[in-house]
Amino acid sequence: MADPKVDTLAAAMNSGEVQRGEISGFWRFLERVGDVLYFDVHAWDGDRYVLALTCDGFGEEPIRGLFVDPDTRQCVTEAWPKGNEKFAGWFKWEPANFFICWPGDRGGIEHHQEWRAQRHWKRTVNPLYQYLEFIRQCLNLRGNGYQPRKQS
Amino acid sequence: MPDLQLHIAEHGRKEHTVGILFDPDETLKTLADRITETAKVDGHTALEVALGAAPVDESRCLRDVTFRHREIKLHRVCVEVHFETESAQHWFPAQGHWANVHRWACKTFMVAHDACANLELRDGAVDGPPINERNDIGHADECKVVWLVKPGPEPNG
Repeated sequence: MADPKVDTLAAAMNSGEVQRGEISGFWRFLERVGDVLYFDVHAWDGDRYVLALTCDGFGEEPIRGLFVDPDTRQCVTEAWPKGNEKFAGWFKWEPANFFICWPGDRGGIEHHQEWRAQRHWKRTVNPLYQYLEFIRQCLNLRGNGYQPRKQS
Repeated sequence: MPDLQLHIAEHGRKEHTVGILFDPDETLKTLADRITETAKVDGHTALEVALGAAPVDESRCLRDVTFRHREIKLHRVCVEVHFETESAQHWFPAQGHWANVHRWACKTFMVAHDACANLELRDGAVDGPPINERNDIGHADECKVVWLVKPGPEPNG
């Protein structure tokens, strides 16, 4: 008998909005390893970063996002997109304290317990798309302060 | 012989050619404006195609730039941009990037540079799917409708 939670995640991956984002070139699904999804996410300058999304308890618990090395899949500071002070408010690329500081991220909620009550990831029918869309905006809206690798 | 030759194609119309002369001492901006006026297609984007580079620094003098192509074919496509309560139409080369539409719209609707950086293009409606501005505008038989919008701010700690 199929695990309904696995089916929910598969349905989210195959949803029209996630597929459309891929067709538009904002992200590209790489692979799924257990509950972890790997995506290439693209910035406005064309640079790509590998985002690992841990989705255990999908729909019930928030996703945990981390940027990882494309080859080793290890979370290292070089794998993280960098930016100005505003951008650094979301992305914590300091070694030993990697996390994404956003109410829809599990790591963000661990650092801001008060966010759990917001249940940000429950405000959508597709938490995977919600997460990818947040990353898209951070990397593509120039006002959010992402800086291309050659400038940072 | 003109310095630049633009072959303008458009859905349902016969291709026509526009010749452009320029002075080496004029800037890319004055040339872009003249192309827009003469060829009825976005001059900045046309220069990106001719120079084979983006983005174009419009303050540069023509004597300091090298054209990759002196003769280009541009397929004109109409884009209608909505912003708040306003809207405007403009013609772009189909091979131009959507970033050019964003740039033109901010200029047309007099959006300050800082504010422009917080806006994005949406396809068809204010809540339509986001448009990747690195993608080509592409061909269309009718005017493409897009919205310039400000997404809601994402909180952080």
